Amino acid sequence: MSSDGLRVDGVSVHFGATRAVDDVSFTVAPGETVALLGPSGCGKSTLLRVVAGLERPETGTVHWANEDLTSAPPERRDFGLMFQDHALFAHRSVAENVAFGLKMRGQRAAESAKRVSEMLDLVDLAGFDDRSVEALSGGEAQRVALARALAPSPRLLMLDEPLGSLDRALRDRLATDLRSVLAQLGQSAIHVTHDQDEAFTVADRVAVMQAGQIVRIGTPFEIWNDPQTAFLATFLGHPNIVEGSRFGGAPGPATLLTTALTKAEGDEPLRVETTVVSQEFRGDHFRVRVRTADGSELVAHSTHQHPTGSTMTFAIDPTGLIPLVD
Amino acid sequence: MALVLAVCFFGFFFGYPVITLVIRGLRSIADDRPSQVLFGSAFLRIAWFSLWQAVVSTVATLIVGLPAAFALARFDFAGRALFRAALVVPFVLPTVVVAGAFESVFTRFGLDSGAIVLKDTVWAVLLAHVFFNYAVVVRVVGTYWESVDRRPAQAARVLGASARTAFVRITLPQLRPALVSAAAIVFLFSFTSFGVILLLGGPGMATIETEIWRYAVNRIEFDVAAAVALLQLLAVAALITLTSYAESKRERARRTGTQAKTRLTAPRGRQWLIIFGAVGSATALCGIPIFTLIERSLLTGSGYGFANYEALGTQVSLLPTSAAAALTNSVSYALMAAAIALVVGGCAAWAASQGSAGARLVDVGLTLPLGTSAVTLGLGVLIAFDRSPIDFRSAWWIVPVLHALIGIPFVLRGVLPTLRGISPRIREAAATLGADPRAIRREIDFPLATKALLVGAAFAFAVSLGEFGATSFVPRRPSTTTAPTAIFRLLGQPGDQLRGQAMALSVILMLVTAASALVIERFAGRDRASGGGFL
Amino acid sequence: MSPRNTRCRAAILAVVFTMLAAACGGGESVVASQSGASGAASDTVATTADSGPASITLLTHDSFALSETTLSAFTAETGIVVTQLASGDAGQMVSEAILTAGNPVGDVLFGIDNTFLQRGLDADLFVAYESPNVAAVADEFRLDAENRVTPIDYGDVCANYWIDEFGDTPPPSSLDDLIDPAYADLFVTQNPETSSPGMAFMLATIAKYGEDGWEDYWTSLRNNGVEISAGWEDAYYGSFTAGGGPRPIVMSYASSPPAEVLFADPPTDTPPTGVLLDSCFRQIEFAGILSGSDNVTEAQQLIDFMLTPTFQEDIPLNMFVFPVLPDAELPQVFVDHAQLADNPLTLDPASIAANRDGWTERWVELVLR
Repeated sequence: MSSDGLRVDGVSVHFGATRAVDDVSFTVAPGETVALLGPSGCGKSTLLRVVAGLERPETGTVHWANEDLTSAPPERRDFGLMFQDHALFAHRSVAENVAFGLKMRGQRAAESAKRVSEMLDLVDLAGFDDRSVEALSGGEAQRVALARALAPSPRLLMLDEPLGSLDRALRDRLATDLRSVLAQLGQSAIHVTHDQDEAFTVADRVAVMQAGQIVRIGTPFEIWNDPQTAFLATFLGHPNIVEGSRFGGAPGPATLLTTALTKAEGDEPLRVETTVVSQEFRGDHFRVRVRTADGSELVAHSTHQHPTGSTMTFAIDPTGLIPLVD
Repeated sequence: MALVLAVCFFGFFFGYPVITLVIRGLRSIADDRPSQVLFGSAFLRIAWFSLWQAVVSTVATLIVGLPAAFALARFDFAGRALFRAALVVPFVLPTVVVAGAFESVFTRFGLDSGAIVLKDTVWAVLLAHVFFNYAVVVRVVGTYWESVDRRPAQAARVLGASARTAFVRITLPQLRPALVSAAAIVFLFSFTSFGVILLLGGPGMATIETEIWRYAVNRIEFDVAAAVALLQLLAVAALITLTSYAESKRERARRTGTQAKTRLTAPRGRQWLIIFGAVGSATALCGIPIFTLIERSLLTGSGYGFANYEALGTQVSLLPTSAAAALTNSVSYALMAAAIALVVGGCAAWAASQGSAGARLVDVGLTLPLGTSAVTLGLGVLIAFDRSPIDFRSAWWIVPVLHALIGIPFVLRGVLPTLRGISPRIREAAATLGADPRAIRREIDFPLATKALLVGAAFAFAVSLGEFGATSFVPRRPSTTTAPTAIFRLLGQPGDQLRGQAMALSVILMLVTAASALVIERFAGRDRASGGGFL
Repeated sequence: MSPRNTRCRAAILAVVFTMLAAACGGGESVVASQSGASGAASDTVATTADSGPASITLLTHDSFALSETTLSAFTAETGIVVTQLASGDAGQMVSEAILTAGNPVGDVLFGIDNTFLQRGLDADLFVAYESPNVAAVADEFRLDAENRVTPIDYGDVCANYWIDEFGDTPPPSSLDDLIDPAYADLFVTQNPETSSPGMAFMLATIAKYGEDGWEDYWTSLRNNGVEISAGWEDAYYGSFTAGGGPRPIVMSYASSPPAEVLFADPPTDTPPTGVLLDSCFRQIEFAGILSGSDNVTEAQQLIDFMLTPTFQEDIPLNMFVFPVLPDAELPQVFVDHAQLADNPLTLDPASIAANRDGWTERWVELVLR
């Protein structure tokens, strides 16, 4: 089978007895961004290191187009990697950091200067050229690392938890910026993260990893609306794993989206009577924990506060009840 | 490749002489003469004295150094940085210069005869040892103290402990790794002290170290000297084991301890007393000998002037060459020794940082000269390279090679932590940006280690400038006469002119060494990873 | 001077080059630079071997001295330039020579005496040379039948005292007086391990008090506050009254008083020092050609010269010992004031050779520790 872009086939990596990566296959099309999403320790960073050439797989292959890269050293792959801790070269200035990859490709300083300033413009750091990287803020360092990784125009850019160390607000903003930069450049990318919001924001497709395996791969929309397994539903933050038959669905486990639980108006066919157990204020909504008559608990979102012990009746949207495979 | 270079150089110039020495010592120890000496009551007394004076030197240095360590660790006062920087100078000063300085103090203040006599007494030796090692205590303990968590002591105060109780029960135990580490270093230096004992101790004083020299050089009894050196090696090896144990504890404490640097406070009230006391006594201890030395060097038959300095250019028959030429030798050899130490130590550090099979071995092996006394090393070279085709006793280059061996651990111990401290991510980042292993070494490892390399080389340079113990075994020729051996020879002679020359030469040597110490301070700064692993 | 500097510079360059090569990690370039370094070293050999006028190095002890004209007379006569190198007192000088045996620092060694002679001969320090001039020297001075060393001068090592320092008490008159509390803290002598007068004095005490008694004598001497110096120079010019020091009794030579007359300021006819003639030990100094010397012919010429009247007659007023050449004329001040003991203390040379190391070791224990 021949294809453009990255093709990872049956890759496994073992550390002693643990299978860090277990028979993983996936592809990244040119211009596409794929997020590797999973809890910490699921093997996503190891998989990234295999693609980068920093880790040798025991089995499996890594191809770019028709070129077998499985045993090529990292410096020969023409891939870029941006580390979680940025790994900036403390002994070099911002511009020298960005120019490093160009220098390694034999460009002279004069030639690379233009590209460096383009890159700094791109990440909104024009004029930072001569600063010491040790004097940068977290967000600035992150953007320098991005510019450095992008400067040599790698065929594939890999980002390992690039926003991991930043605070929430900055993260949200930079994730959006990142998406637009990648789109602007038509850059193929793999984005590793444990944060689904970030993955959904940045990626065209998301590959969810669990215990060394990719358990699901698809667009953010597909995955969110059809998590398929209880693990994935929980991991994505769906709080309500229920028995489907109790809410008008097929027998077996299902997830009931919080958006499918709305305040009953009085005429809905499917309703459930509950008592409020507790609630947390979440800014734009209240997260309310309620108990049903049979003693099981559900989580619902509400715009209003409800006293503990008070009664709430919800209408259930049957399209929000998604069956799960065992 | 780097590993091979380091191991070959080291194996040949250090391993081979030391093994030769050990074998000769082991062989001869059963013979009549060496065993008579080693197990004679006279030698037992000498061994006991060596130990005793080292213990007293250590305790005295700790007592004198602790207040200054405290002042530096806790308070921000005018001149703090200067004080801290100036402390390195006594540590790197050549032993013969210090001996000359103390002798000039004794003569100047009439302590050579009269009611209080310090000249040729154990007190002179102890004073000189405190002078040398003061910086070790202040910097090792002071730096550690800065990062010690103050909250336990504060908690103790809240729980009702007095300031003194809190200090004794909480702070001192917290400082223990640093105290043990500093004490071990001071003990080692005092135990293997050579030039100071010979010059300040008078003819009657002997330690194991000076006995090795006496048997080898004065008595030409190499078998006895080798047996004594073997004993010294064993004693020092035992000590090194203890030191490295303490060091590893200190490292661990560094890693696990609170790294949050507590803020320095402005001193007030009685705290000023401690600062004045510490800075004042340090200035007196180190300043008086240095200034007296300078004053004596300017004193001529007809008042003050530069006659002693001018005389350095003329050869006196006591020396194989002029004092000025000896100084030129010293500086050239120090440059060479620093360069060799830089290459070999740098290669070794790089190899050891790669975590290859022999890494730990390299790390330990190349640190050995630090524990091998200079005299043992000198004797080893003398008896190992004594037959053609490897008769190097009279080759001029054996001097810088010997000095380099002593300087290598300083480079290694400075550079290795830096290289080990480079995050693997940095190298990986470079690799994914297209840097092959060679480019990584050139672009990442080398530039990041430059500062530590410079500091290590400056240490090696300073050590070479002042090296006396090992050099005193190299037969004197015009090309092997260094400034310290010339000073030693000049100081041993009566006559104001020769002494004046010795003082003038000492002052110049001191200035050159101090300059390299300032380079060390400038680059090492507060970077705790570097500084020869000591300071 | 300049060849050495060139050498240093070449070596520095070689080392720096090695460093750079190693930093770049190139295996080949390291090998190349090593051969570069050895190339520099062989250049050096070539430059040092290149010498203009014949020149030889004379190793001596610190007390060696001659009139300026004497060695220049030799140079004028033979064209050979002599460089002097003093390396400590006689003991230290012999030790250093032994450490470099076979590859000596100089060509001729002057000043090994009868107490250290055997040690030098045992170490094969010298090559034999029978100077034509040695025939005139008395047999009692020619201790080596193989002529590996040539006798040059002799004298008696005796205690000296500064007469004026003894106002009320009489000056010491015997070795026994030196352990008398009346003379406590007045005497300075030398370490026999490093100094030939020191060695001579130790042997003198063994000769006088016997193998059973000498140790007690030294113990008493120590209790009486004897000072020990490394060499003659620092004893005589450092601690003794003559050099401004505090001690009026010193181990020196029976021929030292003429020096005090000669150098007295203001001039005088009476020596300010006296000699303890019952403490004297006869010392003979030799010169020899060091084996391994590249300049044997020139060295032989220097040995010959040392036994000419020019050299021999210059000895008394410079080193204050007696020339071995019987017809060498003595200066008047020497005739007037220099003494020789009638019955100097002596020990059998074989006994000295056999026991010297044990004696000095014992001496160090008794006196220094």
